[in-house]
Amino acid sequence: MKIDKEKYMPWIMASPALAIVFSLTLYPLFYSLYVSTRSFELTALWKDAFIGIENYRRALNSDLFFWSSLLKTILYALGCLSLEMPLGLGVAFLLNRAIKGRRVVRTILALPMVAAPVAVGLTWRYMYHHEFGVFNYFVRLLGITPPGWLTNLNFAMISVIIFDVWQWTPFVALVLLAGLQSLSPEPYESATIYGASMWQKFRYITLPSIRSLMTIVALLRLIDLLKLYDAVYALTRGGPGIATEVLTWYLYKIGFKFWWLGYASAIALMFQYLVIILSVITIEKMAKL
Amino acid sequence: MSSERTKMETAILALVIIAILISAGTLFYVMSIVGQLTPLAAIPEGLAELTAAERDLAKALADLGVDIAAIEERLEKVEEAVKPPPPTPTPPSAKKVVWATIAGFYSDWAEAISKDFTAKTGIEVEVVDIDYGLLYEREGLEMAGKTGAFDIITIETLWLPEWAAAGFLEPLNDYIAKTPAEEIEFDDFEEFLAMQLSWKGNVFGLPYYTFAMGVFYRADLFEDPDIKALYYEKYGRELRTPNHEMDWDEFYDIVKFFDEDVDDSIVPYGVGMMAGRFPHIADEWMAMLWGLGGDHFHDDWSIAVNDPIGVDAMTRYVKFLKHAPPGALESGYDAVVAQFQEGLVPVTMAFYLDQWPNVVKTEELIPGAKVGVDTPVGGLGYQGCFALGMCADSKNKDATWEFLKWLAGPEGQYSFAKGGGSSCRKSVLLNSEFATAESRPFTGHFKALHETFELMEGLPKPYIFSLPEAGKLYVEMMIHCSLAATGTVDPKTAMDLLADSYATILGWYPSLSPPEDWVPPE
Repeated sequence: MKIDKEKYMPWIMASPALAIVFSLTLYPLFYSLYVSTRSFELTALWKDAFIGIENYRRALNSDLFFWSSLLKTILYALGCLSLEMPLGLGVAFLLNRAIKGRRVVRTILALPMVAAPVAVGLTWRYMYHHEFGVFNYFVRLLGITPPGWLTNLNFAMISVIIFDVWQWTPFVALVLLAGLQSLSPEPYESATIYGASMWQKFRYITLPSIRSLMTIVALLRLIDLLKLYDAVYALTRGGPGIATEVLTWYLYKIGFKFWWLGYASAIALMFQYLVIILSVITIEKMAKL
Repeated sequence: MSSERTKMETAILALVIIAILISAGTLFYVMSIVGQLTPLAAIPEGLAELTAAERDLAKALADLGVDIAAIEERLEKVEEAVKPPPPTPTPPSAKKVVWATIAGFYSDWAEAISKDFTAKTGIEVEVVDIDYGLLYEREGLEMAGKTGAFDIITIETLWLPEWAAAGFLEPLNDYIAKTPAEEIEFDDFEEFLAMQLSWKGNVFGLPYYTFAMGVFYRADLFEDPDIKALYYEKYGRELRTPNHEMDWDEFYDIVKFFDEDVDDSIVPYGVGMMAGRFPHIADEWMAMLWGLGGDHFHDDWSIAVNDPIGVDAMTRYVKFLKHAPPGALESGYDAVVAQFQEGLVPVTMAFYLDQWPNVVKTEELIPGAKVGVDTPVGGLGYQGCFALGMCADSKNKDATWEFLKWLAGPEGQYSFAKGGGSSCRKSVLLNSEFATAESRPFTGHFKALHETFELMEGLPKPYIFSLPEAGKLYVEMMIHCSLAATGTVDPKTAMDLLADSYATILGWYPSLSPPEDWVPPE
């Protein structure tokens, strides 16, 4: 039998890499699925037994902390995304102009996102501190009662969002800037000739042109936001109370503090499918813009 | 012709070899018989015990003129001369051990002291520093995976039962038994700490660094005549410095007084508290719980945290928070030290006495400030320690033991204390060398530390320290104390939720009592 080399050669060439990827993704995925059906506890292996969907039932039916952390995660992600996308787009527009020092600004803009999140987060934690933080120092100078950035139940999540927006808006801006710079000037010239306003140019020329890029950026940010861990670790450790206990933080507690790997696997798998669903929804929403 | 000759030569050679073997065997057999014979010249009593064959052989040798008695005497002398010496301890063959410890000043000291050990023994110590927030899971993962990454691990007292039950830790009883007493001086450890580090009769850790809780206060403020007069006017009693003889009601009055009645320019708040979502909040709450006579479990192991005493402890804790700086809700021990150094607070809640070297710096930062240290209010606190344990999967157990016994031993602990470390040995804490004015900046808390342990002497080990689930319960304590402290829920609800969490972790939920077939761990 003659083998069609042209048809199979790409697969052959890619097979080593595919093998590595599958072994690092598919195998852990299936193993997680297996573990999620067991009462597997790392420091008490004698308790290991098959329990079917009991872990899933427990999370969905009786674990209030699971639902609380899931809700916080979604609110956090939507809050950050709703700020980062317009801010990033605005910064991109500003940088798209031929202004002096544009390159320097671009370099400085990249600094927050290249710094290690935990290191920067710890710095922000001290800046947020009620007694010793620099933010409240300036607030006091204005004669205002300083807020509890990380101690107030309502403010704590906002503080974490502010930190994330500060760190990752530049990423959105730089990616969208690349998109803006790749746009052809002819449609704008035609629009100007026809008397289109700035908003009309933006709405009917710019936005459709960079829609796919915005979708990709939004998707990447959404996935990152749903996986939030570093900022919570550095700033609040899930507190005050459970005000910032997002799902990954809760999952970390279940998996690495309690060692309930069966239950943690079930939560992680459900979370994974949630991320996929939200990603699909995001793509469809952005496509309609 | 030549092949026949070869066969013949081979046959002859084989016969010669067989003959040699038989002769050698016979000779050895004879020698062994000779060694066991008693002198024939004296019709030995033992001869009667010989077998018939042995008697015949002995008689035959005597006929040949062999002086069996002389041979035997010579053999005895040779035996004595070549008697093997008593077995000496096998020196550790490994030249390196890996020690996982807490990042920060703990590991800075660890690096320094490890060099002393290496210079003494030649065994190299690699210090791996890990952030305290990640220490439990990092060490647990390595031990669960049997990676052998660490030989020595740093154990917090509440983690020990879980790791011991899981077989992660090597029992140290045999090592302790074969170590000369003067090298380990086991009875010199503070009794309560040693008790916490044993489980089911086995010792799994040696204490080396204690964070036992006492109280720090601004002695200059407590001794200020104007402040004392004001306090007397308001409360009708003398302003006393806090210690174990003071109850929580009186302490609350003092805290409230400093917050509301003493001018903010002197001290703006009443107490420093570690109410952030760190394990420290649980330690503060436990000090109150035990100080009020409560506990996590009753004698029948039913859960007690949501009993009236547990709820009272949490309610009082929330009341104290009203007089702490607002940043208390995000503070760990480092922030409270900073608050003390900045003159924001006059006194701490139950606080880690090992922070003395940091807290006493207040005297340099605030003119006229004088720092006092004493036993905890209510008499009890979370009196624990960091201990050193040997990983069960360590490949260098002998070398590991050498380091363990040295660091926890008298020499290592003395060296540790000289560097300002909070030793776990009575002899070190009571050493007069550490009670001088010169050493006060580093060891001024030793007296209070020892007295804190004296208060624990004779007390049984709190039940929670026996449970393999203790580490998990500790995490839940932190979360639920934070829920109450932040006002997310009221103290009663927080303690009810905590009780439910305990029951879930222990597998008893919805009951708060153990099932009939549940066996206590110790």
